[in-house]
Amino acid sequence: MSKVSDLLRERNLRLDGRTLTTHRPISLQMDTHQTASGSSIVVTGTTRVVANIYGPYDCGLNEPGLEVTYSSAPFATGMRRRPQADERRNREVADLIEHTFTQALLLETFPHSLIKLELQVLCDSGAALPTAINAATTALIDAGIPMKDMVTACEVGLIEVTRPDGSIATHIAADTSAEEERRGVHFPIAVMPSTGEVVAVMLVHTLPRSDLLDELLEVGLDTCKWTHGQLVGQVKALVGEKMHVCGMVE
Amino acid sequence: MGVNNQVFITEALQSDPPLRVKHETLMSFRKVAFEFGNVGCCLVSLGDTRVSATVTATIGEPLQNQQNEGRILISVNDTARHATMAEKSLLENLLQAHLTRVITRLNAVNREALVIADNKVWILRVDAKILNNDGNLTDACTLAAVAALRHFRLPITDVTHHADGSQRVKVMPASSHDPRPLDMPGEPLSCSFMVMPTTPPTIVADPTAEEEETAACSPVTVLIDGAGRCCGLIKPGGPPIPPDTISALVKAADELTRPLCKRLSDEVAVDHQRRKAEMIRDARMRDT
Repeated sequence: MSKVSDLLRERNLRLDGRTLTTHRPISLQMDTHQTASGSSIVVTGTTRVVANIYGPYDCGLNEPGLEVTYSSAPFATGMRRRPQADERRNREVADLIEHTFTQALLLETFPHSLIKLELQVLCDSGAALPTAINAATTALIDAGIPMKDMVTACEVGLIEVTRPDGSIATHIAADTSAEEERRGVHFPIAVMPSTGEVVAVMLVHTLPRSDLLDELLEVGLDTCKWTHGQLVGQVKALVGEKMHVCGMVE
Repeated sequence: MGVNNQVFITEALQSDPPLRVKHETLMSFRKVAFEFGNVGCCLVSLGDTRVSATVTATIGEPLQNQQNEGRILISVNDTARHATMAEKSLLENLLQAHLTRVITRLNAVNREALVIADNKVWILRVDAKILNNDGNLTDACTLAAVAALRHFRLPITDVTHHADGSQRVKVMPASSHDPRPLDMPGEPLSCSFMVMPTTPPTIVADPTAEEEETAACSPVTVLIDGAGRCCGLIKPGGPPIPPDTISALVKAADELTRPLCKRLSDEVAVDHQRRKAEMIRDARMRDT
């Protein structure tokens, strides 16, 4: 524990060598699965999430709209987890993602149809849920489903370190790693980048200062904007490449 | 819900002055009532939403990796659901996850105080039952669970160590040893809102079932602890809200939960005084 505080105090660095606001690199692949209408793989650091979109197709007896399934591969984390406990959490996460996207998508353009979004976490080394949201956004772009905005998400964490005099210093860290998530508080935040409005946030922790909430949200918004820039750049590059291959542009 | 109802609700909320079916103002709770049953039982009604919570305690072993902490098990049961259905519904799942987070992460109960002896801890069970759903189940469940925990009294235990290293735990009867209340440092309460994406956003506290179903609304829950500090912000999707609305929500939640928090401790105290008076009276009746 002392090493963490020394690193932060003396060199302003986190355990993996990043500063508090540095995001891990994001990379992106689109159109990865031929069987799906849209698909993508988003990698944040070493966290890797696959997103597949099926549909829109006739919903039959099901409810029209968006249906999300979220699951984590058994080998995603280093720990063996009880499948039952996992399943309960996955349902909650899937519900959050579903509500995040139903408002962003122009679902009224697809009446009586169902869109299935399947998310699979292949490797979770921190910030799996935000990576899943980013993967879902890019898969929806790949599937050509109209959206109001690219919903982007990031994880924000609190690192609490004890100072030599015994008091506790709280640092806000963007894009937490698995190691940081085990140690302290972290929460996902999803925003609409063009308006800077908050779509989803899930924070439950007694904050040491009352003004900390505003700071946390601010860091969250900034990080999401950065993530959005990265995603847009890479999506444009990938789509441009594809259009070039198809002969749509010179 | 029909389109007519939705239009009616949204138009009434945006009229001047804003009107609601079951509330006095946009920023008010419906009538909150606590009814206490046995020790650790509480029925909370929030308007027509009714949730009962029961706390029971047994002695058992701690979890392998948390040797110095007692355990708290939480379950939420929607009585409207068919009892033979094996799997929990999504609603129950979400509420159970919410209660678990609130009670364990926000230090609602000091779990270290639940340790009795080596490898023996109190295991608390909090069972919340939804009796009627008229919206804002999040707040009703949190209030019921917290009220039941505050009403609960833990029996006094006596540990005797034998010479051979073994130990014996004896639970003292309530008649001779007054059971003690739980150590609850956090005192979290939740306060839920619906935010309508108008300009400026219309904020509605304590939404009813019909207001929750109004499609364009976005639900936000703010958690406030006993000291009036914000200790949680939950927005599970829905239409986006600007960040400055969030600070307004936190401020409003603080004002709304403060009287509630005080009333809860007052009512728990009053009920226990009444209980004690009854016990003394009964004892006297037996003596004479």
